[in-house]
Amino acid sequence: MADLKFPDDRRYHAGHLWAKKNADGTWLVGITDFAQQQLGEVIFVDLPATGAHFDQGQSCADIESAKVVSEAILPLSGMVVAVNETLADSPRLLNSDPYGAGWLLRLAADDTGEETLDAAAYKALVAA
Amino acid sequence: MTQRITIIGGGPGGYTAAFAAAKAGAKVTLVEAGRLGGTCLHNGCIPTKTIKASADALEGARRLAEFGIAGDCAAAPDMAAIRERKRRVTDVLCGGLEKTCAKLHIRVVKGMGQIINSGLVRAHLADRAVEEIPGDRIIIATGSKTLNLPALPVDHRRIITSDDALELDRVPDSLAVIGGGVIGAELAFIFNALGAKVTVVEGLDRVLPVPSIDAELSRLTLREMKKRGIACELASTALDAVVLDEGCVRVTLGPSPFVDVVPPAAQRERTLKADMVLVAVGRTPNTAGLGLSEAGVILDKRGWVKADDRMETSVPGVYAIGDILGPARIMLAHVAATEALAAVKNCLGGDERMDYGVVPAAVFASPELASVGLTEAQAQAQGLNAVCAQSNFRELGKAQAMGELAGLFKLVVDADTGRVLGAHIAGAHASDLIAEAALAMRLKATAADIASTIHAHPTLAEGLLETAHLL
Repeated sequence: MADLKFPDDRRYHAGHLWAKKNADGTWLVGITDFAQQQLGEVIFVDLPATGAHFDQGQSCADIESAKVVSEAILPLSGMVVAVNETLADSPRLLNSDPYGAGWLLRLAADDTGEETLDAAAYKALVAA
Repeated sequence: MTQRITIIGGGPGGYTAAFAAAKAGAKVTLVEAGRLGGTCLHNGCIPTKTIKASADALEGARRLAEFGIAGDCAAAPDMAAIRERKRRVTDVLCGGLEKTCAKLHIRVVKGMGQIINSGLVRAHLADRAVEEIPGDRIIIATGSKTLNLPALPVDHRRIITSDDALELDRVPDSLAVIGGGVIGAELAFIFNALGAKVTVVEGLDRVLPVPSIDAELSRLTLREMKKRGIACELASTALDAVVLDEGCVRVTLGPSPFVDVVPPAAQRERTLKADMVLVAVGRTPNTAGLGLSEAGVILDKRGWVKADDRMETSVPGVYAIGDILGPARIMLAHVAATEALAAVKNCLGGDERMDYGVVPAAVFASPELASVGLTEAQAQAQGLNAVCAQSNFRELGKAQAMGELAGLFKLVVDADTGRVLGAHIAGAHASDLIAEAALAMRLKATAADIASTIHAHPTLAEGLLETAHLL
């Protein structure tokens, strides 16, 4: 627990995904360090089609590890504008670099004023 | 007096009826133009499973390192040898049927049957000769064949049927499978494993859009397709297929008229090119030349034969079983065989009624799927107070040991009585595992009955036990 990282440069959600705003206004979305540790070694990520719309709290992807098949709960409402194609061949990027190369998808958020957590609040949540 | 029963069609329905009638003392004539065994043995169940066994062996060879087996393995499919193995398997089974017919003194007439009236069948033999077969009862068991669509003109070379797919002399580089139902999905996984780049085109919004298949199984199958690199064009329809000069087929895809909400990706018209196109859009009844309308046998508006739950058609003394009854009666070999037993009893003066309440069904996708009883959606639609429980294959020690992680168990249970309403399994050997759930349903067992039954460890069957414990 102590060595898990929660960078301050992004927002978090109770579903254990993060969202980080890009310069172009879209949001990059991925799973947290806590989530990847809970999952164990990821063996497949079933990503949505671009153009699909999801609401905050909805599952946008299935993440499969040797232990579980887990739903990726979206931290913001919006439309998928891109998915991380490299995960098809390298799903373990979710374990090795969850905040960077292991991103899941890019979202054009609806900006409906939804609540997300800052790093400290999320860290407190997973520590509880 | 001995009953004379004439059976037209020698598939699982027809030969099961012939065997049962002969054992019961009837004088049986079986009219079959092709070889005994029907679609099941020659174009369906058995050949696909035989080729799937080859595809599975190849997948196993590719995974050797995962199991700690060292050494180079340059495994590749040899279609001629795969077809030869399939031929040997079907020959063994077909020979068994012929021997049983001989042993039971069933007269097999090689020809096309035509019903003249309830007491007379005319067989048109290969040499244009005609044989009149008088009798007391007739059972129609002529089955179904592949359905073709004008927009997808089958040439049996580039645009093929499922029958053709089992006779290919090479693995296509790329294969577009039109229809993501049971046949399309099975062949998609097989040809993907054999090395083809496969795209599945399905008009509805899920693969395996069969009412008896739970949405969870469709979802898992779609994920397994993606995992294996099988592309899926859902909510899409193939508008046409054109063989191009350069030796490939161009398929034009458009949004499906069969779904209310077409996802953005399927809304535009687009084309895909494939080495071959497999048309797997459905089945159509084998009624040509049977003389049904002349004999007064009533068909439904789609051309399937209508029969009551005693399997008798609109003409007294003329019975019908199997695929010829259409999808409303479930087009499966084991349903045909069960209908055959009911029909024979009724031919011999009984009053047996078919019960379609507990019919297990298997889909030989990768991994396998199997179902019996109601899906969660069907239970809800019927207004039942149903609860569901689900567990994953990967939670089982045996699944981990076998390296077979993909799969799930789902039970649909009556919340008031605890009775099992349905069971849905995806995963290795699902087709074998479903038998326990079918027996449980037949004996009106509860989830608690399954939970209190000792299951051997470590086995995949423990998945049903674990799922029942969740309820």
